[in-house]
Amino acid sequence: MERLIKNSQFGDIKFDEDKIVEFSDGILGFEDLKQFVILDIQEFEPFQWLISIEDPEIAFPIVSPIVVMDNYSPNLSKKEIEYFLGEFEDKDLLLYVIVTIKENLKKVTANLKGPIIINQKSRKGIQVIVEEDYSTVHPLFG
Amino acid sequence: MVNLEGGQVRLGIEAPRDIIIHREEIYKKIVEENRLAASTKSLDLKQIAKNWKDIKKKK
Repeated sequence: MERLIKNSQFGDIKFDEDKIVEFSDGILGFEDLKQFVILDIQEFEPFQWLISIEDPEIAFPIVSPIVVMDNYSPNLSKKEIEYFLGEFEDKDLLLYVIVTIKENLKKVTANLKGPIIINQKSRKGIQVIVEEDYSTVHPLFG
Repeated sequence: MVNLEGGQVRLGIEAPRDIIIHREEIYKKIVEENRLAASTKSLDLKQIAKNWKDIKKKK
């Protein structure tokens, strides 16, 4: 079934219900928001938006960690991920990091310490805090 | 071991580990970053995307 949400920056956003990702723990600081959808708009590439369905004014810029760092490889246990997100095969899993823009566009950083994991099979997602010593404000350019 | 390929995570066999550690300081930092991210203006991200593509072209 098609769904429609309205955002003041993007206007009407239509998406199919099966694209909804359920974050049962929310995003840290936004624990009340449980349902999100990923917005793919070409002009923002390589970035995408993780937009809340319950409060469509809340949208997080996200990007694949590959764009940020060549060898980003936090140690995530399959068992733990399956506990939170249900069973998956490797190809079902998507990893993103949230991007922030500061100082009038001069400073762009990605949060490598708190990535977002999505299991496409179960349509469940979670923001985790990884053990490794990654930065919450890793510079995006250089 | 985790390998990243094409935006996806690959997981191998490994010992169970805690993936969620609520260390307060880090937690607060992440909440702060999330709040900042949530108020991102689309025009700003559009500009950053353009800058990123320009830098990539030069490489």
